[in-house]
Amino acid sequence: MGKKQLASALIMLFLLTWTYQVAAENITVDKKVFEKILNHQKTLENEIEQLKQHLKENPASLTVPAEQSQTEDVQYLKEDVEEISKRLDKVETRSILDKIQLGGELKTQLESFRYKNIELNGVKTDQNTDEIWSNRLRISLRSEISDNIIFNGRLGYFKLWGDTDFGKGSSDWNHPSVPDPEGNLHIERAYIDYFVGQTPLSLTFGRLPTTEGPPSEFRNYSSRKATWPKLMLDAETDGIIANLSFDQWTGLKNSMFRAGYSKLKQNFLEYQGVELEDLNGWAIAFETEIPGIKNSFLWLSYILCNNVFALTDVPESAPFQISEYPDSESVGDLGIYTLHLQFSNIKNSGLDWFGSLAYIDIDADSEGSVLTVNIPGVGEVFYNEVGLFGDRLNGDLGHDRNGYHFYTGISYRLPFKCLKYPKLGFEYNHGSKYWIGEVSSGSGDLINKLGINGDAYEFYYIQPIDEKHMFCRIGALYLDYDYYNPLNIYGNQVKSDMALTSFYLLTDIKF
Amino acid sequence: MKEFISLIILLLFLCISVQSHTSYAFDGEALFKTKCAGCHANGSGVAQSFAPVKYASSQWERFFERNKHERKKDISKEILPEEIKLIKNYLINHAADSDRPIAAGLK
Repeated sequence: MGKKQLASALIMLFLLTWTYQVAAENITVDKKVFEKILNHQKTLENEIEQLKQHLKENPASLTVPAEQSQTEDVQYLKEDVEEISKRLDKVETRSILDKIQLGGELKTQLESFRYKNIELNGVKTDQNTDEIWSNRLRISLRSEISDNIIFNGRLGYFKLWGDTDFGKGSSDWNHPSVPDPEGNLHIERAYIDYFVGQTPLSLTFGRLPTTEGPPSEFRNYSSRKATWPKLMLDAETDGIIANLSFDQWTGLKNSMFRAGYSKLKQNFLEYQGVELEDLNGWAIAFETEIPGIKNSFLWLSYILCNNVFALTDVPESAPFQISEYPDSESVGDLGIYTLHLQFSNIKNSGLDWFGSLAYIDIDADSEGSVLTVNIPGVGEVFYNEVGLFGDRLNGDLGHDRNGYHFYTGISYRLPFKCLKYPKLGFEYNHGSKYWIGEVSSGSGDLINKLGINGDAYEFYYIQPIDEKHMFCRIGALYLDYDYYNPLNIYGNQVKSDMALTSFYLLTDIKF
Repeated sequence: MKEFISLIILLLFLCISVQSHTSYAFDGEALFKTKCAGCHANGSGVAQSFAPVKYASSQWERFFERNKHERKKDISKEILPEEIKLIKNYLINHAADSDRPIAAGLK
């Protein structure tokens, strides 16, 4: 094939292809079909225009699916909140109806006592008690009745393990220290704090928080648990206290003036024809934190107890009985001045210190209870007449007396984190000849070391088990008596060389 | 008796000597009062005032665990982590369920 024929064939093929393509663009369509297509196109164009218009007017409608999702979430949340709200209403209603908050403390203690030169029935002897086990349960109650009325209470159970007759004859003076043989629950405290409007005045009345006051907290590994220092008065008391906070007026932190009235004893023997005056207590006190010294506590007070009861009970082993009470219906009055100072965690060192001094002024009446003995064949014979620290036979009935007590101690928080910062403590106290131990007999311990007319030393170690709730304390106590009077404050103080050594181990749990 | 007193005196010296070169930083209260009160003081208008008794100890634990303060305000520049620990301890130790002091006329 020549080049000319090949070129002609290619030109013909190209022309043929081009002609087919032109013919294809000019397809003949049925008129009805064409109109249908045209209408459909117009409809689509209209819809597009409408959509454009809609988007122009509602630009947010582009996020419609997201909004629907959020609306669902909000709906779920609303339902959840409503459900939680219903539940909270129930909890709140129950909380309002649960007017009393409960708390508790359980102490289990093992003690041993070794008496030296103790006088029993006129004979000096040594006596050992190797182990005494006891449990003490306290249930505390609190109700915030309204913003300015608060109720506080405490029930106490204190019993030796098993059956025992030890502890008979407890009274308001010494109840926290004397186990109940029956194991009965006892009301230790039940009082109202009434805060008068927006004033700094408050009134406290009922069975007051007046046992185991400062500085007991160092030894008991707790916060302050009573109004006044234990050397001033450590006893369960019923009465009324007016408290006036000085913080706002003086700028002295935690400062308060208090005035109180209490009936320490009422004449419960009147029905027996015994006329005795009621023993009343009047107190004024001031407390404050010392300016510039954090965690310090200063206390000054005076308490007057007038009409101290005459002797109404004698020991079972005593050979005499009471045959006559004094005409003056009491054996005298006494006043106690107290100065107490304590510092906690001095300069963040973990060291605590306290010092407490009490001075007692005794105004004794010249009459007392008349004691007699029954002699077979003879009848009742005069034995003695005993009043406040004096008696007829010694010729000192009605002599005024003065006594004092000094009490100091330190405790130190050891820097051993692995042992949860245990504490070491040491306490010393000295009571003079005419110190009245009964005023501090609600110490909560079987042995009231602050009641001594002599010297007492105590050393202890506190091991926290759970820093907030549980600790163990192990300690040793040594009491060296100068005087010991089996009739307590009645009759002459008798010289004594008695000594007592005690060891103890206790565990205390607060909840 | 003499041995007993000697033992006590010895232990006292021991305590004091240990104390002389030991210092605790138990002062979360001071930090709380200085650092937190800047905003949380009464009438400051910045944030509500509050006392540790606002919550129980477990609630305070949760508050710090969840770092709830940061949700409202980041305080890491104002209060150092060590200080926060002390403040946390103070708040927990003085929480509503803590061992609170008791005396006539105390709320």
